[in-house]
Amino acid sequence: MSTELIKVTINEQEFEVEKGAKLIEVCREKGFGIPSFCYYGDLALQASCRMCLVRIEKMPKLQTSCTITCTDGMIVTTQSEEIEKAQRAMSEFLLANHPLDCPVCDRGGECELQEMVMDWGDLEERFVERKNAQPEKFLSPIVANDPQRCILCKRCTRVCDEWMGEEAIEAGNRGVNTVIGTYGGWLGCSQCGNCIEVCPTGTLLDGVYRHETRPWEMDQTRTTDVYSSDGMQLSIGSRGGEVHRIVARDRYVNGLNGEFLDVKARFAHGFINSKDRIKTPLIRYKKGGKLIPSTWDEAIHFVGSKLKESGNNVGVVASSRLTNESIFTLKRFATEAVNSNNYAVSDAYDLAPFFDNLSAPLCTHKEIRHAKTILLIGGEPEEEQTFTAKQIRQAVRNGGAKFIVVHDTPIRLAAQASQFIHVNKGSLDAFALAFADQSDATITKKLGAAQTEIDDLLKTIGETEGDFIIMFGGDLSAEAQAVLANVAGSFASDTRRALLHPLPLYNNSVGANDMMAGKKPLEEVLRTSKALLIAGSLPEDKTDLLANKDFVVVQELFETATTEYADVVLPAASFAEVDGTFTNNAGFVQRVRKAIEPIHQSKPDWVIASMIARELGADFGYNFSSTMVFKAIADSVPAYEGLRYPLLKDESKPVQAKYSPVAKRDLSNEFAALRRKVEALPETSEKITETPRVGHKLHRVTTMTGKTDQFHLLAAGNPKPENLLVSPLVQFNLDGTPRLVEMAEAASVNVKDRIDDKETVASKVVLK
Amino acid sequence: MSVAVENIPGQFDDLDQSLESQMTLSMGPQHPSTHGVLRLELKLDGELVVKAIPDIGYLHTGMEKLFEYKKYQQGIVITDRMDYLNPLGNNLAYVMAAEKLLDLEIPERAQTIRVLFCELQRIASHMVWLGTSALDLGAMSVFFFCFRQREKILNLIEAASGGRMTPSYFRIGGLMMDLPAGFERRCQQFIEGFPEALDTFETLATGNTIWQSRTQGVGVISREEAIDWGLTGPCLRASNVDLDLRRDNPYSGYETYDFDVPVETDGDVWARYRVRMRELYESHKIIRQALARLKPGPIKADAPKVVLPDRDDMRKHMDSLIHHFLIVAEGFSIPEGEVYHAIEGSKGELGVYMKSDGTPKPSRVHVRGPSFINLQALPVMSEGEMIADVVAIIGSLDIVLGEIDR
Amino acid sequence: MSIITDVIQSTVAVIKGMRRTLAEIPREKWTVQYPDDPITVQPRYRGMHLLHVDENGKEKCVACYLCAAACPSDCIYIEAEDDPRPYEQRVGRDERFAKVYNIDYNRCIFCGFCVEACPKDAITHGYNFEISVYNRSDLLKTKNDLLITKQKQSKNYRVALSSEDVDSEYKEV
Repeated sequence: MSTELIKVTINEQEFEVEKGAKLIEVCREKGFGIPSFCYYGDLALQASCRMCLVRIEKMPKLQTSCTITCTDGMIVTTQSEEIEKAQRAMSEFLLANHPLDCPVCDRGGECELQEMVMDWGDLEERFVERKNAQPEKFLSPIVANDPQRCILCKRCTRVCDEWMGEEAIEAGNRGVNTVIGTYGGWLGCSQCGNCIEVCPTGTLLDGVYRHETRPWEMDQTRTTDVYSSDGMQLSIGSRGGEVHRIVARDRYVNGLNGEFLDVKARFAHGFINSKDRIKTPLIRYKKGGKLIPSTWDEAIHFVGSKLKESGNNVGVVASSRLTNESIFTLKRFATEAVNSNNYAVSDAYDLAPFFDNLSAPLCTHKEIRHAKTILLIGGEPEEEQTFTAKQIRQAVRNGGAKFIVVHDTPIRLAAQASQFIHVNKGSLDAFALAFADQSDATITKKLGAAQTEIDDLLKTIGETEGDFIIMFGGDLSAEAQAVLANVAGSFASDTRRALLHPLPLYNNSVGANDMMAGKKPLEEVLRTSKALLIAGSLPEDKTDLLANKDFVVVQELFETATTEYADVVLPAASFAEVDGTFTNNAGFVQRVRKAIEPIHQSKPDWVIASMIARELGADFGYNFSSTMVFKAIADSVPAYEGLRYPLLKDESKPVQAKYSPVAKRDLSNEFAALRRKVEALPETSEKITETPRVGHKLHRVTTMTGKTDQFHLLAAGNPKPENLLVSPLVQFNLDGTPRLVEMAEAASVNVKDRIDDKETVASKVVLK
Repeated sequence: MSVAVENIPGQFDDLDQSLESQMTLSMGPQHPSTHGVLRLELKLDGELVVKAIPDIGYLHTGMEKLFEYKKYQQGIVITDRMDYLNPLGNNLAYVMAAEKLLDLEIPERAQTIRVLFCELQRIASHMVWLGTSALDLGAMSVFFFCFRQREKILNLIEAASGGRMTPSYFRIGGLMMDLPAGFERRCQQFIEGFPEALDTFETLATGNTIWQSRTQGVGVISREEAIDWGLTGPCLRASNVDLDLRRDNPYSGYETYDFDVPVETDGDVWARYRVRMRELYESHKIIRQALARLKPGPIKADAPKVVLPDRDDMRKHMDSLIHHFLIVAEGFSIPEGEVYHAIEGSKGELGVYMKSDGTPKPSRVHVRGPSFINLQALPVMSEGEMIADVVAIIGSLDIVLGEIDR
Repeated sequence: MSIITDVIQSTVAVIKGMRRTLAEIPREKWTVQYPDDPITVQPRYRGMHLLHVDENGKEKCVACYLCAAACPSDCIYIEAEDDPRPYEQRVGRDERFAKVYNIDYNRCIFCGFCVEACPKDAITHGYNFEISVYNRSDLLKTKNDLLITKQKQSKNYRVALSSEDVDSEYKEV
C-alpha cells in the first residue's frame, strides 16, 4: 500500500491520512464514533445496514462511510441532525420486527444491536403492527438460529464464504422476505461457529452454551487454544469453577486469529468440567488389580519408592498437548531425578527433521495472509490447522496470491489452488526429490505427475516477488521433510523471501520439540525402559508396548487405553486450569492462563513431576511457581532466551522464539534414503479422486472432544432431525440413531407457543 | 502537683492532677445514652468532666469504598444505611450529586414528592432525637409519644416505597415509583393530627421545670466556636448563626416554599432543643404546602439512558426493553467530572462529593456527614460540665453513629 | 430561687406530665399484640421474595439474570437451563428457565431492585417477614422456598387496604 498522505477534513478538523484508507476506519481512528453493523474489517464490503452514513460535501446524498475511500480534499461531516435522523430511522426499522426477547436471548448483554440502540436509539416506535413471528430453530447440533432477530448485515455469509470457503450459510429470497438460511435447511459444514461469533445480534447462537449464563456473570480469561497448532487466542468464560464457553470476541481477546476459531477450539470444552475426569490419585497395588483411589501423599510416596527400585531404567514420555513448562519439567525429571536419557514426546510425527534443517525463517500467519505464492505439500490444513487454511483462503481471495497444492488427495483446499499437482497415492516423497532437482524418469513415473507440472511450479516460484511460503504436513517421511526444509532457503532472492511453515498436529508440538532437546523416538523409549512416567496418553497403537513394564505412572485427565496399563494414575489439570505457555506453528510463544482452579484434586503436570522428583531427592527449585519454570526454560533453551511471562502478556503482539536458520548442507544420505523409498512404491498406482468429507478429522470423537455431546452427532454424519425446532441432541442418540418420536411433537407446540406469545404482546399494543 | 506547675499551660493543669482527685471513665460503646456505639473517654475530677475524648469507629462498614464497587444506582441503598434516621435525606444528597453530574432536569412532581418526603423524614428524625434525648433525661412518656408520631411517618414511607427504615425511594432521575393511591389523604390525616402531638411535647418538655433546669446553660458553645468547629444544622443555628441550606442554597425547589429558619442565641442544650422544636413546626408547614401543590405529572426525568423506562413500555417496545436491559445489566455511565452537592439534612449539612471517571461506577464518593463534624464539638461543650450533663449534651447534638463511622 | 419554689415547680411539672400520660389510659390502645394479632403491612411492603407462575402454573422466570445484575448485595444466584419440551411438560413458561434460583437472605437487604429489574414480572416482594432461623445456612432459600405455589404465607400479617388510614392502627379518639 502506498504511504502517500492526503488531506481529509472531518468535522472541520484537518487530518493527514494514508491514501486509499477507508473513511470509516479513519473516522474511528480519529475519535469520531461511527455506528455500523455490517462493516467488518477484512471482509468484503456490504453497506446494507446504513448506519455509518456521513455527509460528504459535493455528494448529493448521505454516503455510507464504509464503502468510501478517502480522497484528497474530502470534507466530511459525521454528526449532524440530518445524519442522526437517518440513523435513528434505521434503528427504528431494525427493531420493527425484532422479537421482545432480550431476557431469553443468549446474546443479551453483549449484543451489538442492544449497544447500538442504546447509543442511537431512544426512538419513538411507530410500528405497532403484529410482528412477523418466526420460531427459533436449529441449523446443526451446534448452531441455533432465530431468524426473527436477524438484521441482515450478512456478516455470517461473508465470513462463511471468505474465511471458510464453505458457503454453507447464505441469504435467501429477496426484499422483505430475505432470510439467512442454509441449503437444505441443515448446516453440513465444518461447524466452525465463526458465523456465531461475528453475528451482532442473537440470530445465530452457540448451541453448546445454550441458555447457560450471562456475559457479565462470567470471568473472561485470555488463553491459547488446546487443539490446533495455530495457537489461536481465545477467551474462556468461566463462572464458579465451571467453564461455560469459549469465544474469540474482540472485546475479550485480540490475538493473532482475530475472531476466528474452529469447531474444536470453540465448542469442544466439555472435557474440562466433565464428570469423567479423574478425581483423585489412583493406585493399582497388584498387577491386574483394580485402580484404587488414594491420597496424593500416598501416591507420590508409592511412585517414589517404586521408581527408586527401577534405578535409571525409567523412561519419560510427554504429550505434545502439555504446556512448555510441563514438558520441560518432565525432561528435567528424566535427566536429573532418574538420571536417564530415555525421554520422548508422544507426538504424531517428529518435528526434529524440520527444525534441524530450517533453512528459512518460520512464517507467521500474517505473512501467509499477505504472501504472493504458497506451496502446500501434503497435510490438510482445513482440517488440522484451520487458521492457516483460513489465511491461505484469504491470501488467495483477497490478496491474489498464487496457491499451489501438491497432494495425493484432492483436499478441499485444492479447489482454491491456482495449480494442483495431483500425485500418486503415497508418493509425496518422490515429489520432495523432484522439487530438490533430483528427478529422473523413475521418480516422475512414481510421482504420477508430468515434469511440466513441476516446471510450471518452479516457474511460478521464480516469478514471485514478495513472500514465498512452503508448508508441508506430517504425511511426508522424515527424510522428505529434511530435504524440503533444507532446500527452501535456496528459493530466496533479493525480491523474494522464502519462508517455511510446519503443519504439526498438536497445540504444542513445536514447543515439545524445543523443550525435549535430545529426545529419543517414542517406540525406542517404550521398548527399552523398565518403568515409565507418562504424561498424557500414548497413541492407541503404542499402548501394547506397556504390557510387560515393571511400573507405569500415568498423569491423565481421563481413564484411557494407556491408564489400563498404569500402576499409578495421577489426575492432571487441563489447559484451563494451569498457567504456562504453548508454542505454535509460527514459533509464537503464547500464554496459557488459569481460568479456573484445578478440578477435584488434579494438579498441573509439572507440579506432579516436581513432587515425584522431590520424593526422589531432586529439587528443581521451582517453588511451585510456573514463572520460575519458565525462567528455567528461558535460561536453558536457546530459542527462548530472554523470554519472561511479562513479555508475553499482550496477546496482540505475540513473541516469536528465535530459531537460527541452518545453512544448506549435503543431503545425499537423505536423497539415497528417499530414492529407496520411492523405488519401493508399487509400479502401478491409482490416484485418489475422492475429496474427503468435510470435518473427517475435525469432527472425530477423541478423548477430549468426546466429552462434548454434539461431537458424537457430528461424527455420526451430522444427521438432520425431523424437527428443526428442538435440539438434535434431544432427537438423536449419541450414535446418530433417532430417539423417541414424541420429542418431534414439541416443535409444533413450540411454534404455536411462540406465535401466541407474540400475538398477545402485539394485541396489547394500542395506538396512542 | 509538679514543681514547675507555673510553666504548664492552663488547659493541662487539670490533667496533671494526681490520681486521687482524677479518674478516667469509659462511657460506651454499649451505653444507652450514647445513641449507638460511641465511646467517650471521660477524664473526671469528681463529677466534673475535665476532658472528653470521643472514640469512634465501632460501626465502620467501609461505605465510601463500597460505593466504588457498585453501579451508580446501586449506591442508593448504601446511603440508606448511613444516617439511618434520615435515609431519604441521604438518598436525596446522593442522587442529586449524580444528577448534577448528569445535568438532569427533574420533573415538578418528583421534586415536590422529594421535598415532601424529606420533610416527613426530618420530622421522623427529630422525633427519634426528642424521644431518646428525653429518655436520657428521665422523661419516659415523651419517648412513647414521639415514636407514635414517627410510626405514622414510617407507615407513610412504607406505603410509598415498601421499606420503613431503608426506603431507597429516590432514584437518579426521579423516583422509584409514583405515590400509591390515597397517599395524599393519608398524609393530610397525619399533618392534621400532628399539631396536637406538638402540643403534647410542649407540655411535657418545654414547660417542664425539670427539663428546663437540666438543659438551660448546659453545654454552651459560642457563635465563634460553633463556626470554627464547622457545626451545621440545628446545632449551628442554636448558636445564633442564621444558616440553612434550604433557604441559602436552595435545591429541589425549596426556594418556592414559605418557611422560616429558627435561630436561637444561647448556644446551650436548651437552645438546640428549641431550634429543633421550632423546626418541626416549619417542616409541618412545608409538608402542608407540598401536599397542596402535588399535581399529576411524570415522576422520572426525560433521560432514557439513565432512568428505567416505563414498565408498560418495556413490555411492548423493543427499544424500551433494550434500554431497560442495559441500564439494569451494565448501568449508565456518568460523564467525567466531580461534584459536591450538599443538602440540609435533619442534622445539618449533608454533602456528597462524587467523582466520575466515565464508567458506570463512581471513582470516588465521599460523604460530609453532619453528625461526624458536629460530634467534634462535644469536648468543647462538655468540658467543665457535670458528668450527668454529658448525656444531655450528646442528646442535644443528635448524632447517628451509622453516619459518623460510615 | 428558694428550694421550696423549686420543689413546688418540679412537682407541678410532674403532675402536668402525669396528667397527660394518665389521660392515655382510657383511650384505645395503639399497640398490637403481635403475634396474637396480625400486624398490618402496606401493600408495597418488601418482604421475602415470591417467584411467580403463570395461569397454568409454569414459572415465569426465564433466568435472564437481570435481578442478579441489579442486586447491590449479590445475593441472587441463578443457573439457567434450556428446556426443549413442549409447554405442557415444561417447568417454566419459556424454553429458558432457572434450574437453580437461590436467594441468600444472609445478604439480601430487601431493596427491591430485583423486582424493578425483572422484565417478566417473575419476582416480587411478598409480605413474609418472619424469616429468622436457628441456623445460618437455612437462610439460603432455594426456588422451592420462594415459589408462590410453595411458600407458606405467615398468618401474622395483614395487608393494608390503600383506602386505609395513615397507620392502620390509627383510631380517631
